[in-house]
Amino acid sequence: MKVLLVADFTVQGLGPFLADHESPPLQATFAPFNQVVPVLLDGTVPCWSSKPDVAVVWTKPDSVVKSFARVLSHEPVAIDDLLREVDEFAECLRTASTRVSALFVPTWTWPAYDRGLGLLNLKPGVGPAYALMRMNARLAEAVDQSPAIHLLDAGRWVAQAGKTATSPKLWHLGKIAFGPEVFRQAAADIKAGLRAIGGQARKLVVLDLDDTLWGGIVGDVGWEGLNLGGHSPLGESFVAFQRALKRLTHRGIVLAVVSKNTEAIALEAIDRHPEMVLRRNDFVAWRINWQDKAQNIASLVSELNLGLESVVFIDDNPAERARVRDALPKVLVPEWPQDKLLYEQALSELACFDTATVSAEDRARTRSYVSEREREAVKQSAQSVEEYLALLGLTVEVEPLNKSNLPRAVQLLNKTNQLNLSTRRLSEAQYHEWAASKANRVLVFRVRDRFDDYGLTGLASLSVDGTEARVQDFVLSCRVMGRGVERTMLHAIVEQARELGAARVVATYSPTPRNGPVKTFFDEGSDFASDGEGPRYIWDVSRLYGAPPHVNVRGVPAGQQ
Amino acid sequence: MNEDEIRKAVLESVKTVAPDAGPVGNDTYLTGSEAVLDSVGFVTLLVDLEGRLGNGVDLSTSFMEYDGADEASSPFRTVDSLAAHIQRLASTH
Repeated sequence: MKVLLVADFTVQGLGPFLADHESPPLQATFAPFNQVVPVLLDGTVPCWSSKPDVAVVWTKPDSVVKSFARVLSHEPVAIDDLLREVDEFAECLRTASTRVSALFVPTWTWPAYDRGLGLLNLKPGVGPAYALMRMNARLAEAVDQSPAIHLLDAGRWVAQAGKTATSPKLWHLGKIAFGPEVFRQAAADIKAGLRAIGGQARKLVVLDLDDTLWGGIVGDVGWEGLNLGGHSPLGESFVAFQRALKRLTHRGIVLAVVSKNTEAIALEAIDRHPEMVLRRNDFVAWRINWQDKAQNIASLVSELNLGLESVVFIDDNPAERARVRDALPKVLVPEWPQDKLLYEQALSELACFDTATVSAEDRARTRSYVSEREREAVKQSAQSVEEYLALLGLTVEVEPLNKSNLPRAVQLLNKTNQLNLSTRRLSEAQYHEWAASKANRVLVFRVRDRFDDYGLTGLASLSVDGTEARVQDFVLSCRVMGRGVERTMLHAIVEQARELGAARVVATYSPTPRNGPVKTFFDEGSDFASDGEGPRYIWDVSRLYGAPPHVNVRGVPAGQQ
Repeated sequence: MNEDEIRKAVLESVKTVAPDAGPVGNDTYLTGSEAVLDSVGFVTLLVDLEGRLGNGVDLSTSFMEYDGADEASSPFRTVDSLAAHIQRLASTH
């Protein structure tokens, strides 16, 4: 992946950190020194000829916003003038953002050794620190509706680097605005951002219990004897760690337990200890037994229909960490501090959970998995598959792609592996542009049943060419697979194709290592005819394609339900 | 700080500034055509080293004052020669 670095200082020091082993490896190219605005506005400048996938535009606040240079000179500056210049710069960024799939913009910072006006540093109208805060806030607001532009918090990098963040010597010797630690932090955030945009965020945290989630061995001391909460530093730190884990669930990351313990004793602690922040319903699954943890993780991931590359495993025991790392190399096993007071910090430092958006579906994900447990209980008690499906009370709502559902639709497109016909990965901007074409239609599907509202969990798109409607995307979250939603989506696709005047619907399967389930569905559950090429699956639109009788379908674009 | 400690600081600094440099040893070139650093990386290395070594070693000024006439005998050429140069600067300080 190629990244173009556009800066008004010497930014070459960032290149080696972008090229390091951490995924994705990036090959840096550099725009001409201090030519930021011309490079942003003019796509014919030679540095664009290498067709970079990504750009990073990193500027000094006093060179881009001239009014800020006047603030630094202690001249009176109207805040409106300052913000107008920020808006003008944002417009330049928007222009350049059309040339790349993602454009990263580190926020403006100022060297910490400069005390500015001291007591007046934050005074509106004169304070440089006040002006800088307003400028960064304005920039964030100005690019908020530009899906390809992502602001990065350079203030955090500078704070992490401490005194080595900036140096007048580096500046005077080489016009180098930042030290290597800032560049290292920047590269890590740029890579985390790209993983987020590409839907590669980790989704599941698998936790050990004893001395990880609480202090002590529950099998030895019982839940009453655990070190958790209270007024001890250690007890407080375990509560803080649990709170940090709980916060992750609000971002769509789910939690599970893999612990060598007696299940009844461990669950009793989770249910009964008064200081537990995480309760049974905060965990989507668990394996509490005396078996190998790597095997338990593999079995748990399979139950949840996730991939091992979605998993983070946290355990205080270095031997268990080494075993899981060795047996399941796709699982992220972070080194974990011996000092238990640092658990919360270690979790907060992980850069593997970043996402480009957080949807309502993300926030409700834990609840969805818990509902699945309840649903499974109904399934066990039902006399037949038909009775089970009827008991679910499934409703599928179909709607066209629009501005409000675009972020979730693109998130689904980029994160779904198993039921994904073509597995194409596009940014919001790219998908919006594709959907805007007259020949293309995108439908999204919201699913709910008596147990849960799954939200937007399906996506289908058509590209019409003459009398043929090609299914470009057929994507369904694994959380609703196998309940008739797949056929409901095909029902909507066929009706949409009919409305567009197509004579047949053609779906071509593009194999990946993980999307076998979509082929199985088309082969065994779709009733589409296969001509073996690709293979391709075909439906003659003159024939009705009905939704399953147990599904209540709403909002199908035309035709009969 | 003895020369071994200084050499260790130089090696750590090279790895910090150039994480893509590959294996770095005492004979690793820091300047010239075989150097693991470009000119920006070398300047950054000097300033980073000044921070690691503390007050009293003004490497960047020493570099600016160096006439560079003979690359083969440059004190900035390798990890070893730079460590020896820093030791000399520290002892004359």
